[in-house]
Amino acid sequence: MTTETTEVEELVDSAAHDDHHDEEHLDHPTPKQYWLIALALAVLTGIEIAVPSIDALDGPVGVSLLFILGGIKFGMVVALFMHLKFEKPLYKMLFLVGLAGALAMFIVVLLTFQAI
Amino acid sequence: MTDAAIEAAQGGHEEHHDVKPVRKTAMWVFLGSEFVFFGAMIATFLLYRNTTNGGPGTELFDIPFTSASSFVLLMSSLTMVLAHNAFENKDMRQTRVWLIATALLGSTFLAGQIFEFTEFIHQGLTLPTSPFGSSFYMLTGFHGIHVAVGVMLLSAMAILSFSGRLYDDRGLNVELIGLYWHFVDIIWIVIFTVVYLMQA
Repeated sequence: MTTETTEVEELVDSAAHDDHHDEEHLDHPTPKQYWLIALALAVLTGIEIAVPSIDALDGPVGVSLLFILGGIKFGMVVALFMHLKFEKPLYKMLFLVGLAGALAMFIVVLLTFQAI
Repeated sequence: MTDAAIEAAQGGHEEHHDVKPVRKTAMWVFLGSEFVFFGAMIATFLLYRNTTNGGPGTELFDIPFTSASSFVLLMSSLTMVLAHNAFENKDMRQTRVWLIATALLGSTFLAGQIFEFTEFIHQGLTLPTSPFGSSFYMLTGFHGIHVAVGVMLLSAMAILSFSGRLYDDRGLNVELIGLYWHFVDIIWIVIFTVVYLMQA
């Protein structure tokens, strides 16, 4: 019991120390920068909305462009609004493992039903 | 639960134990698992997007209207991060303002989704109409439920802030709810692109 308690204490203290270390990373964007990021997201959304109505971008080119624009927006929100860019590797790993799991299952489902 | 964990949960030995990183880790684990959940639903929608059983399909989508809803939800991420920023700077008034703004924007998105669903039902697309209808309502409906939960959490935070009970070191704090809210936003970025724009 004593050994177990000590291990738990060490784990919690270690995590707390890491977090205090993280809190020293005060290089998060400023409110003004958050507004600029939101403006960029709005512009990207505007371009996304325009893509389906442009005949020249019909088909795979348009779909690829939508994927790229959606990916950029996704990345910006995750990195800058969720602060994952400034977080410790553990959180990045947890996020990426979930994302990779979803993508893997997504592809397996579509392949299983011969949808791609 | 061990004695140390109980003490940590009760706030004992605060000078040594900080459960904040543990809760934050739990939130990231939760969000990671949610990816798999939504990934399955998006894959299901893509499988059945053309299986309409002769009923209405993607031609029902009103892209300008959904674009406006998407913009509202995107901007709610801005107000959420501003609330978090104000909370970090211990500016409780600004925190409250941005939390309420985020809850209102989330409510606006939900109102738009209810309107959209009502329109679709009037035009003959219901949950049992076709596999397309089932997969569409399940995906967007579950996302809507996530938004509704987020609005409730944000509202609770705003109410707690009035009585000075908005803490950083216990319960669901502004940062953790912010992570949840941004997650709901990024899922909608994917849904909007894959479900709406790519079918347009």
